[in-house]
Amino acid sequence: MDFSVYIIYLAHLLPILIFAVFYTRNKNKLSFLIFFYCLYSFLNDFTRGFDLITNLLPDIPNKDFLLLSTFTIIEYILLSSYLYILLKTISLKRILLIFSIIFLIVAVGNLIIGYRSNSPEFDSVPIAVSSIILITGSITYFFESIQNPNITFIYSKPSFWVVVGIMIYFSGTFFLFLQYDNLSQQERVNFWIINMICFVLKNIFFSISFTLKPENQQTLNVDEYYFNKLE
Amino acid sequence: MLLLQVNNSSANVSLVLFFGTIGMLALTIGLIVFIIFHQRKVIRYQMTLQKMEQEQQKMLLNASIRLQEEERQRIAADLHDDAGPLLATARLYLNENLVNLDKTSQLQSIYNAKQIIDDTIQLIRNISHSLMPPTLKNFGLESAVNDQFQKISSSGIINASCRFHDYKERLQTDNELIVFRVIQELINNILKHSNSSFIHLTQNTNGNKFYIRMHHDGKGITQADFERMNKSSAGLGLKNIQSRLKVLHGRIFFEKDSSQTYYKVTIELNREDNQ
Repeated sequence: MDFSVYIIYLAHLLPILIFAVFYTRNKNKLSFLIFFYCLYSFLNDFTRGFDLITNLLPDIPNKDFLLLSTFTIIEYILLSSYLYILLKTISLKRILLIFSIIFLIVAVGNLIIGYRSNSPEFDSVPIAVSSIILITGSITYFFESIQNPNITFIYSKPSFWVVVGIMIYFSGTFFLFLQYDNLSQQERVNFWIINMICFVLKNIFFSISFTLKPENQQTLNVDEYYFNKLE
Repeated sequence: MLLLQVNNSSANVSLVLFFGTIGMLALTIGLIVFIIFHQRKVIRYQMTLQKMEQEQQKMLLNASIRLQEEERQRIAADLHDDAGPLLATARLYLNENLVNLDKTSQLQSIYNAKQIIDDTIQLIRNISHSLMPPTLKNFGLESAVNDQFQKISSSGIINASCRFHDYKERLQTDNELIVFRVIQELINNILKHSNSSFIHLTQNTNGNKFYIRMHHDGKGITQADFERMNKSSAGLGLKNIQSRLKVLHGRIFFEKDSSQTYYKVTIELNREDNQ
């Protein structure tokens, strides 16, 4: 196996292991959502990497496209659900819901058309749409957070690191996935490092989020920090 | 996708991909850094405000403690310097030698001692009244303020008048005392510093709000002066007013009348909190 594959598997396993180690801190639905996403992502790559689907379901055509497209949809559902829970403003939640419906229409339509036409193409359009929605949702979450008068450092929240992970990954891979079908085989290999770096960063950020205590269990040490600084 | 259709060559695609990715990552990281620094700045500002508030609270508390100590010293001085010598003199008149004196001298001594004891009773009554005016306790704020204003007016130095427009329901006794003390402090300041020829007090209500307004034509202070003095170590009396009103969740405003002739002080209280 290639060295980069080891890194990818290691990056896959890192948040899963950290979640297990800090399980008591992560007994909440937000952490479980991210854990399930990491687990599903790992199983998906594992299935594709070892071509398990061919052995399990040999009669299904265009399996790789099916796996990738389903992964895009489930990935979006899990991450957008995370953002949906994080957002506090009802109108913003509704907007996210509307965009999610649009994404699902696009993704399912792309899946059906791609599967029927037996096209080997990468599902660029659903990934681009999901990236735009998730990046916008993440920015909205940040702006909602800084408007909140609660005195806690934003980076002491687990949700901050998850959203940073989402933003880095989807903004970093946006152009790569968008143009993937137009790249030559050599370029795909060359540029795949972008995906690898972003993926590793995302999983490191997710792992950081698992090490932090949930917001409702945190003590406010910010007072002490600034009072010491002001004196 | 549009970009792809326009620039179809492989080199262009690679360029777009490379710079696009770099640009997107730079924007994302920039945004995250901005949010972190902005939030730190906001928190620092909030903490500074909180610290200032705490410092002011501390100053108010110190002012209140100092005033309490001054009051105690005054009472101690009154008792020690006035009541003490009077009682000692009375004791001299009533010493053991009194039985050996003739009848006339005995009567004279008893009469003198009685006089001194009466004076002492009056003195102690005055001290007691200055601590808790009986009119306020028995008849309420309106009567106590009227009484106070009559006393000031009868001195002939300044013309003092007051009028309560809507005071059918009294404030709680403790709160009446606090309001009365605030009025006393304000009057004291006006008499000491303003050099005015009249003081006029009115009481009003508006919905849930209870207002007491005082006008005078002398030298006064504005809200800005009040806030400045509250933050400085000067203005013990004003700090005392502030801390007393804080107990009632009340507010005070100092302003110059629109005609620029009078100074106006308004005390605002919530009726529901204080009745």
